[in-house]
Amino acid sequence: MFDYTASKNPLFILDSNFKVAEVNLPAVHFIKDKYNKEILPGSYFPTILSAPEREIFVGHFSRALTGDTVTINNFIVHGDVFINSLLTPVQNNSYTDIRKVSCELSVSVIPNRGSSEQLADEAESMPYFKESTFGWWELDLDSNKIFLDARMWEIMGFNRSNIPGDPNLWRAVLDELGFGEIISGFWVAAHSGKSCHELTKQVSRITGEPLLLRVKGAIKKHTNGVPASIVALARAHGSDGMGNMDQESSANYLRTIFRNTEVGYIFLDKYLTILSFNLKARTISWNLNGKDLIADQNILDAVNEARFLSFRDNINEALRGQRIEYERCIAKQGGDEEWYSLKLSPVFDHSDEVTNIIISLEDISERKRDEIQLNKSFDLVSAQNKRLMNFSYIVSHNLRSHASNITSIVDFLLEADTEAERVEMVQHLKTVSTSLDETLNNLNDIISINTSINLIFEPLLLNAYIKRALDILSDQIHRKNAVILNRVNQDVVINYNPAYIESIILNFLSNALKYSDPGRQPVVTINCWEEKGKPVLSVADNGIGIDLKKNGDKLFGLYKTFNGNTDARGIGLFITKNQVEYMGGRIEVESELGKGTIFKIYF
Amino acid sequence: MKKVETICIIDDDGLYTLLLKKKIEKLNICTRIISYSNGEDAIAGISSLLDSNNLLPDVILLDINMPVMNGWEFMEAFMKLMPNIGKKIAIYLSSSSIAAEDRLRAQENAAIENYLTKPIESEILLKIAQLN
Repeated sequence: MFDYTASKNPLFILDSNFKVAEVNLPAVHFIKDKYNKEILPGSYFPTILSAPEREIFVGHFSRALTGDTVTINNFIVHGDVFINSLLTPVQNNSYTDIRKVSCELSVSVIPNRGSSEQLADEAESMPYFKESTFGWWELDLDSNKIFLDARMWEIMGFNRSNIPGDPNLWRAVLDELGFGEIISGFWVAAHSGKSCHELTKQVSRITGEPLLLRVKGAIKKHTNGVPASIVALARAHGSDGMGNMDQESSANYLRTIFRNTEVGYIFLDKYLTILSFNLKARTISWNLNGKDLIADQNILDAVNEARFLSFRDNINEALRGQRIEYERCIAKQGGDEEWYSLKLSPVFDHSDEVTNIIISLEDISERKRDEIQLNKSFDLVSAQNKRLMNFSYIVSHNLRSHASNITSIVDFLLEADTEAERVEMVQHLKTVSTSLDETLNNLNDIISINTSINLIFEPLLLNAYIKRALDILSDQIHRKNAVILNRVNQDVVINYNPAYIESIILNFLSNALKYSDPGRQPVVTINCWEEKGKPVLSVADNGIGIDLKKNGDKLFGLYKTFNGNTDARGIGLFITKNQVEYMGGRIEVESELGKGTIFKIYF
Repeated sequence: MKKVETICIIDDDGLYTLLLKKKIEKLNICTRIISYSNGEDAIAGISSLLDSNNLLPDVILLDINMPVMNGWEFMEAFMKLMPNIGKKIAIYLSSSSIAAEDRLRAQENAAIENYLTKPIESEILLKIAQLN
């Protein structure tokens, strides 16, 4: 949005097809005065111009459409006054999408066309340039005399009554205020061959106030190339962006900002009456409270207190001078969440009393979503790190223990006195190489646990996977003459990762068979039910059982085997637990020595 | 050469125990070697020997990572037995773990003589025999 009403100079906004989109009153008057034509919204601007003007204008305009701010110097001649145009791209939301260009006209003064002062008076006499924010000055380098127009004197803080009467004193008076530095800047530019120069310098007004001057000017040269004079336009360059603006313009700009900012603002008096708010505040307030904001209403009536239990306390804190800041999450239909940041900032008067409160509201959903995503990644990295620690533990302990045994065996081999001893050592070497191989396989299993960030969930027929696991274990089942009771309904479907479910079921079933009691026929019962809307799978056996008091804490640890069972690898449960927990579930275990064990997997 | 009466190996790695036994026998630094495959068995074994001081080990080579009762848990249980033990038993922690954490923990425990990294070299075994 461009607030064209803020300009006192003739200003109009054209769309990319040169059609007039907006036009202010000074522009209407100027076009009428100069061309005797009407400039109306929708009219085609180039036809208003003379042929040479049109050619210049169209060329510069296309540059503005690419995003450049373009100045056309001495674009229009009107009477004895030369007029510049400043073309500014009007950006929409995106910086690349330029659909409109604003054209602002301002007066430029060419000294060799009669007296400068006379020209300035002429410019002043044109109502549409009356409010121009530019002052001009001219320095004759031969005589070292400087001339300023009324606007320039005004910018420097003078009024008609305190401008020195003797023009010969002007240079000295202005140098006193810091003008000399501007002149030397131009002087250096002139001697380096430039014909135009632009600079910003800190000077003082006659009143003592600091003033940042933006100066843009031309250097005229004698026929022999020696600089003859400097003619320049200058305007105050305010540090807050409003420096020398008249109050009305700055109020206009502020209004434009207030209206278009992405932050919602509500302005309250100390009685909590809503004095003012912007459109964004109204939108956000509607989202947060389900109520409309109404001016002159008390803010407490506009707030949904059920959602903002502490709002009354917070606003009282703000009235006591505290700056309050907090975040609120609003659940939207469809499971989306919207996050808002709320700030209550007290406004103080000269005696530090709170006179007003500004509430600012900002939609921080995107930032919040990033934050949540970041936390997720952090958890993932932590889990990965934990696995790496386990990994380094195995490397440090298990691999080293094999290495240590190999070292000892080799020593014995080298020193062996008898052939029998040598044969024995080679046998040992074979044992170590087998266990080393197994350890390496296990390491591989551990690294391959959930390395992908987002696992696929699929609806899976649970029984299909149980059947597959039983097929794989059929040899052991047969060998141990085990009875498998599968009580899972044929149609149970769970939403899970296929690779994980396969590994989880296989692990529990193979454990149930592995730790069977040699004294009785193994019976393994598989069951499935629903708890709190989620499926639970149980695998029960009548095996040797686990002393949970003693080993419960180590049950799922890495490489913890405790049954004296020679093929216990102690890695299956570790992996299974990791997989179940990674998918958001948990494992419970009940066991009694000599009776059996039941594992429950909460998916 | 100085000889120790009894050396006790507590380790779940059967092959390691066998090889260490062989090494100790070759070095001829003790008259008797006993071994247990975890901390619990060792505590049970030592408890049964409490009445016969001369059968109690003089040196224990203790592994850290063992099933049922690991080296640290053994130390806890052993400390409880200590008042009933009539002689000094030198405990050496031996592990293939090169984790600094284990080494530090061993240093902090006054009842542990030293921390040894597996495999225990012959020179170190000889030194242990000399010290005890």
